[in-house]
Parts: sequence; structure tokens; C-alpha cells
Amino acid sequence: PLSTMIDAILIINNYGQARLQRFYSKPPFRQQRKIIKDCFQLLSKRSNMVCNFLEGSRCWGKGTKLIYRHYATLYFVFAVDASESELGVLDLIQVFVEALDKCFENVCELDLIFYADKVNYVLDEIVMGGMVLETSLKNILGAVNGSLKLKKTSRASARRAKTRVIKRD
Amino acid sequence: MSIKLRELIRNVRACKSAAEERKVIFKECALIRTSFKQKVDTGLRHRNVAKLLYIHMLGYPTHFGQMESLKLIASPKFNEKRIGYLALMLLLDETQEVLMLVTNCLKNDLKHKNPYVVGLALCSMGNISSADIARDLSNEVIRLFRSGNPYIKKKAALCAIRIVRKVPEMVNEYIEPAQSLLSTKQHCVLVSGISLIIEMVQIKKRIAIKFRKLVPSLVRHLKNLLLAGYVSEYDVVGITDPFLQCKIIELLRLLGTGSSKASEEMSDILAQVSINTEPAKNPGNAILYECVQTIMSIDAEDGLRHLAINILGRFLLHRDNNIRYVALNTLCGVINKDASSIQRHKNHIVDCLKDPDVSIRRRALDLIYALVTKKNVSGLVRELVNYLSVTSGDDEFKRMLTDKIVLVTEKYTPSKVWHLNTLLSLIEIAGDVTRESVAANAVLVIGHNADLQPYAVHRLYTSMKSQVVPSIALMRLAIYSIGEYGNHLTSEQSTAEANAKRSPESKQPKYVCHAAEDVLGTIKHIISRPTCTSKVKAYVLNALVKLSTRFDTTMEGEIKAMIKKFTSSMSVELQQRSCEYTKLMELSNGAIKSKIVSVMPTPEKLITKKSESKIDDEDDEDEDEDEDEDEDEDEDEDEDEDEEEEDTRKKPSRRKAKKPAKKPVKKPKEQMEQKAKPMPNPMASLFDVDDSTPTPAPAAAAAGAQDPTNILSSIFGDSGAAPVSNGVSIPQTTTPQPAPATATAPKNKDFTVPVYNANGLTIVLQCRTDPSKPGQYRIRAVFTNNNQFAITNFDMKVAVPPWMKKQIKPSASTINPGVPGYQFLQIVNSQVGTKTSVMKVKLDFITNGVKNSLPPITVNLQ
Repeated sequence: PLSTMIDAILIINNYGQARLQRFYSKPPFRQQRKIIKDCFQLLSKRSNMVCNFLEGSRCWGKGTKLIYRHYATLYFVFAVDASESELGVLDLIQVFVEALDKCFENVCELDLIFYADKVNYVLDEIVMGGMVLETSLKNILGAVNGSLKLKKTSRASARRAKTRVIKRD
Repeated sequence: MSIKLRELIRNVRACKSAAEERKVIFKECALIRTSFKQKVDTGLRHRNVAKLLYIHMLGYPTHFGQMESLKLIASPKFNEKRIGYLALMLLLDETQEVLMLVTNCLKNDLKHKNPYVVGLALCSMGNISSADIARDLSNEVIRLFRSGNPYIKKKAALCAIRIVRKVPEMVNEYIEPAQSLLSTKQHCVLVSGISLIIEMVQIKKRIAIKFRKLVPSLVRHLKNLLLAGYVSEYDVVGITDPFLQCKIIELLRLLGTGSSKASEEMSDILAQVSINTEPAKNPGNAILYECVQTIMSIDAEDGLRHLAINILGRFLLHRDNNIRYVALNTLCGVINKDASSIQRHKNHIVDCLKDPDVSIRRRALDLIYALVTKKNVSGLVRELVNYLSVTSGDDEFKRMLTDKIVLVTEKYTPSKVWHLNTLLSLIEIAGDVTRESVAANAVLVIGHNADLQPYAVHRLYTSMKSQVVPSIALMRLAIYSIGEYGNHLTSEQSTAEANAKRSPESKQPKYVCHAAEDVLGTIKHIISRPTCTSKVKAYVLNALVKLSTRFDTTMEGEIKAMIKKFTSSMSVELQQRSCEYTKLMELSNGAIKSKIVSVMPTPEKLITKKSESKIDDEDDEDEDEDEDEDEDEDEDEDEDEDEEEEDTRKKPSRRKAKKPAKKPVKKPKEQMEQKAKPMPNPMASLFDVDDSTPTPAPAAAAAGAQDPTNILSSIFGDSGAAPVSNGVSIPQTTTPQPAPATATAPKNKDFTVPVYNANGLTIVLQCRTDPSKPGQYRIRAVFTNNNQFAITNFDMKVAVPPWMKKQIKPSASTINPGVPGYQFLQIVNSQVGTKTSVMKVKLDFITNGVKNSLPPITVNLQ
């Protein structure tokens, strides 16, 4: 019960396939698979009418709560420890979804598959080491786009370096 | 040839089966491995690692990519570095030693001039840093606290959280840097800085003292947020940066707890936040929620606490499930701090029990359980029972509910009749969902309160009869009660008593006096139901045999017929009971029968499973052998009977078989057992003496005859009585004086031990030992009658000390003159060599019409 933190962030689709998995308290790989499966089994049983919190799930043990939102085909699941504010995490999920939406212009499941790396970079600007890093959409998108620009320039400079080498030859 | 990531994804998505997908993936993995093995940089590393990340997401093992991701991190290109770090975070386990290799790269990148590269390094470190890396790079991170770039500052603060988590002793180094973060205006830096301070305070409680001076500035920050107008950047549905507000309030909670000065400083702003925050949307409620928690933790004034509880009360009425859940959860946490103001919201909490959402129902149940006091127990339990009757499905929740009801009724019950009513209602409503202990509790309450018995049996009978499909639990309890107290059903006076105890608000009609035929008819009807299990039928049989004495003798024929039906039952248990009870009913001795079927004695408290099995064990052991515990024999018997009746499922039929036959016969033996009880320790001490002094056994026995302190003779309890006086021929008893050597060197050897020679009766034990089984004696006892007349009612009992076991075959009770009688015994000394093989023989017989009951004789088997 020491710290308030997010244990894991998962995106699972309606068929139980993981579309994003970040474990901040690193369980062994084998267990990660099991956790995703367990989470999905618990979540898929719940109707949209009930509350977004789930307690005492088998995968993490007693203190951990699952806080989730269900958007169309995707479950956004945050596994947090007992002292984390449930309502705060719900807001955070909202921030994450909005950020993805801005980055991909109407995000859909296929974006998460084909641009899995980008999804991770967006997440890294919001949550770091299980703690909230940034909640302002402007800052999040600024950082994501900033490093995107850097990536392009680094590629371009690499290409230039290559051509230079060729010329010298 | 390497394909692009997009192509791989398309290939996988085109797969029609899981097997096909596996094939594609394994093929790709093999290609990636070979590509990794090539020494030269093919420029495909980035693409391969990206593919591995995808494969990882699908859930396949990707550990072989770890080294490649390290190489990418070392690359000067940003896009390679970035995916390298991402792969490091996703594919690596912090336990893996590969992590050590990354330290240097991290160190370089933390010094990089590009803030995004520094950000990457800080992010990876904050996610996966080990204790070693944390120690090595802590100074670098502290240096970054002074960076002018908020992007780096916020990441450095969160990275520091990882460091102090991994190396708690470094907390002190971060006190000053953490404080410096709070002087900025950037919200993101403030959030991370406050998170860091929260973490540090949680790691080291004493540190809170150093941060308490920050309270005024935190209060100022909060005030600015609260009063700030619209700031587009931080606005979330009309509230300015709820995340920062929550964080500040959370830190205030930690700093205010245990300090009245700090609590006072923050009370004002907390009140303002509670009043001014708009509770319509989730972000506002998140702030209020945090605020309530803080108010309940710090040394707040009563007024402020009432305000907080009222906010939660408002939450309870909120239409959003999440808010209701949070309210219940918080109320559970603060119940011991301000129970009285929570009591005012009792009704709303009870309403939450009817919520369709199980998470909310469970929370509400927990809370109500905590709210129950002696005063409100009857009201709340009534609500719970009502709720139990309207809820459907979810047996697990129902069981939880009944458990809680049983617990609180036991704890706070205002009267016996109320307690009984609650238990019976539970059984009537929830039936088989309830645990067995509910019925057992009801049996206890009924058994201990004779005045409630008429009411209980009437109520159970009526509800069993009126329910369309009575549950097994109800049938069992009802039939048990009818068996025990069925006489109340047919008596006018008892019916009046039952009606007097009936609760006035009960909707059922008044109880009426039933005819015995009707009761039997109902029982017949119950047996004929397809839902009636053999367990219930076993209860019915018990009840019937008991009813035979409770009802008029005119009913006996019908009861007999009903019992007899089961003599052909397919169930062995039922068949056996039926046969035994049929015999019992035919017994001419009415006194014995009425004693057997008399009302069951009620135990003081529930026998837990553990003690039950203990009793079982004791019974399984040889009864003469050891009874270490000075338990009252009668009590033992009671418990035996209880088990017999209450728990037919667990009891094997062995016990049943004993009951009718054994009871009458058992008496004399019981007495003997009782006397034999205080034996074991003195016996042991005697043999210790025996072993140390090489006195031959006969001398010891002879000494025992004179010396009342020789306790060997007390094996049957009569320590004072001298066996000699009864004409036991001592010299003969002890004639064989085998040398100890022969005993220690066993060979297949027969020997005889004379036991008794008087009254014309000679008893000799012919013993045989087997060298392969030392300590085992197979004995034939030969009885010779030298009189002119027969010896009748002959009975030889044998007792052995605890370290020996015996088996006795029965013998004829009459010994005719001139015809020797035999009895076979087998005795095993489990500690042969260290303890002597010895036994006691007690004789009872009638010679010439004179009853002889001899004191025990010691026999040394050497």
C-alpha cells in the first residue's frame, strides 16, 4: 500500500486481443498473457450500465483495481493500486483517448495495429513509470510532434550523409 | 528477403486460423534471428525490431531481440534510438542482466543537447531502471532538475520517483530539488514535483516535517486554480486542471495528517473547494472525492467533516454508478471516524443494495455490515432480509449476504425469538444458498429455548408445507424439528403458545393444531417429491422413529409401515436405518426405546469440523487403551448422538449400526471404561521402575497386592483391593519366571502362562511368539471347568497398557464341566524390548448360582 501508481495500461479489443500492453510493475511474460486473458474475461461480462471499476481481480491480487472505459470495439484498461483515485484515472483515460484521437484523426483499431510504436510514444508522454506525467493535450501533442519532426530530420540528414559518402567515392 | 512491417501485419491479418498465424510468425521470427546473426549492419535492424514489437503485442516470445534493441539505443539516429528505447521498455525484464549494459548509453543520452533525446533516456529510466542504474545516474537526474525546459524537468521528477523507490536511502538527496520544482508555474512540472514529494513522504514518513512549510504555498496554488477563470489549455469541462488540483489535495492530506497546525492552515481552502466545485461532471467529482478523503484524514473540525460526509451523501444519490461506488467505498474507509453522521445516510446506503451493479451492491453490503449497531440491528436486518427475498440470481452474493446477516444477528441480537425468526427467514428465503451453519445455528437456538420450540416447529412445518418447492435446507431443518418436537404440532396448548410467539406483522394465517395423520401425510408427500434427496429421507426416518413416541400409539402402525418401506431402499444408509428402526419399534422394552428416541440434547455451541474429526479419531482407537483427556463420558455420548442425527452425510453407517444394538448392552462396559481411565501415567511410571530394577515380575505383582501405591493393580481402578482376598492363587499366576535373556532373544517359542485356578475354574494362556514379528503374541486362553456344574455368564475382559494393542475373539459364555472352552487373543507390544509385555485380565462368571466378579489379575507375558 506504499505508493499510488498505475500497474499496467492495456487496450484490449472486443475479441480479447491485446492492442497495447504496458506493464509498469514488470510481471514475467508468461503472467502478462494470463493477466490480459483474465482482464478480458472479467470485462466482457460487464454490461455498459454498470460502474467502470472492478476489484479483487485474480491477476494482481487484492489491492489492485481495474478501471476501464469501453469505446466501440476497444477496452481501455488501467490497472491501479488501491490508493489511486478512481475518478482521476477515468479522467486520465479520457485524456489518453483524446490524445490518440488527435494524433490519428479519429483513431480506430487499425491505427493501433499499424502504428503501435506511435501509440506507445503518445502514452509515454502521458504516463511514465506508472505516474501521471502530463495531462494537457497541447503539451502532449507538442512533444509527440516535436520528436516526429526530429525523426524526419534525422532521417533526412542520414540520407544526406549517405549521398555525401557516395559522392566522395 | 526481409519484408516490411506493414506486409507482415497484412500477412498475419490474412491468416484464417491460429495455426496459420503461428506458422507465419515463426517463419518471420526465424528470418529475424538469422538477420540478427549477421555481423555486418544490414540497415534492417530498425525494421526487425519494429516487427518484434508487433510480434510481442500478439503474445509471442521475443526475448532474442533484447541485444538488438541495445544496439539501436547506441545509434546516433533519433528514430533508431527511439525504437531501441521502446523495445528496451517492452521486451526487457528488469531482472535481466542486459540492463547493466545500457547504463553508459543512458548516461550519454542524459547529457545530450537535444531535449527529446534526454526525454527518451529519462522515460526509459523511469520505467525500467534497476537499483544499480538508479545509484549510478542519480546525480545526472538531479542536475536535470535545474534544466530550464519544463519538458525535461517533469520527466526528471518522475524519474526521481523510480530512483527513490529502488534506493530508498537516497530520499534525502531529493528533498531540496523536489522543493525547487514547486516554485514554477508550469502545471506539468507541479504535478510531477508533487508526485515526487508524495512518494518521498510515503517512503519516509518523517520527511513530512520538512515539507510542511510548503503548505501555505500549496494552498495558494490551489486557490489560484479555484479562482482562475477560463484557461483553455488546462480546462476540462469547465474546471481548471483537475489533475493538478487532485494532486495538491492529495499532498495536503499527507502533510496534514498528524499535524494540527498544517491541518488548520488547509481547512479553509478545503472548505472552499468542497463548496465551490461543480459536482455535475466527473472531473469535479474527482476533486470533491479527493477533498473528502483529505478532510477525513486530517485533524479537521466537526463542521468540515459533516460537510465532507454530506458530499458523500450527495454522491450516493448521483445517477452515475461510478460516483455512487466511490461514495460507498469512501464511506467504508471512514466508518470508524464518524459513524454517527454516516448513520444519517443509512437509507440511501440501503437503497444501493437494490442497485443492478454488483460492485455497488457489494460495497453497500460491506458498509451496512459496518453500520449495524445494537440499536438499529432489527431495522437493518429486516431490510437485508427483505432485500434477500427480492434479489434473484447471483448465488455468491446471496451467500455473502446471508453470512453477514448471520454474523450481525449473532452479535447484536435483541431477543431470542428475533434471532430465531431471522435464521428461519433466511432458510425459508435463501434455502440452499445458505451455508449449513445457518441451519445448525437455528437448531441450537431451538434446542436451548424450550419456550420457542412450539413456535419453531409450527412455523417450519407450515412453511415447508406451503412452499411449492421447499429447499433441501428447509426440508431438513423442518423434518428434524418435527422429529424432535412433533408433539407440539398435535397439541392445542402448544399451538396457542406458538401463536403467541408469532410476530404480529406476519402475513401468514394463524397456526392451527394438526392431526397426527396430517403430519404423517405431509411427510409422505415430502418423500414422494422428486427433489427429495436421500439425505432428507434419512432425516425423515429419524423423525418417524421419534414421532412414534411423540404421537398417539394409534399412529404406530402407520409409522411402522412408513419406515418399513425403506427396507428395500437402494440406498444402503436408508435401508440400514429402516431395518434398525423397524427392529427398534418391535422392542418389547419400552423404557429403552423411549430413551433412545428422547429429545436430542443440544450442544452448547456449534461443533466445528475440527473438533468433530477429533471425536471421530478418539472413537476409532481402542476404547480400553487410552483416554488421555478427562472428558466426561456422558458428554461424549451426547456428541456422538448429535453427530449421528445432524450430520448423516459425514457419518459412515458404522455408527448407525451401533446405535440400537449397542446402547442397551454398552452399560457395564462403559462403567468399566470410566474406571479404567486414569490409568496411563501411573502405568508408565510403574514400568519405568520395573525396567530400572531387575525385580522379577511376580515379586512386583506380589508387592502390588500389598502396596496400594503399586498402581499396576489399578488398571481397572480398584487400587486398594487386594486380589489375593478373592482367592486368586498368586503363586500359580506367576509361576513361570523366564529369564530376561529369553525374552530379548526371541525365537519361535511357545509357552504357557497360568492365570487363574480357583472356584473349580482353571485358566491357562497358551502363548506363541513369532521371531519375525517381535512383540506379537498369539494367545489361546484355555478354560477348564473342574466343577460338577456348568459355569455360566462367563466373561473375560483383557486390558493392555497404551503401548500395546489387542484383538480378542469372542468366547462362549458357558463352560460345561469337562469340556474346555477356548478364547483367542492377539496382543502386539509396539515397544518390545523397552517396555514389558503385560496385560490385565478381569473375570466375571456365575458358578452354582453365585456371581463372581473378580478383581483384575496381572499377567506378565514373558
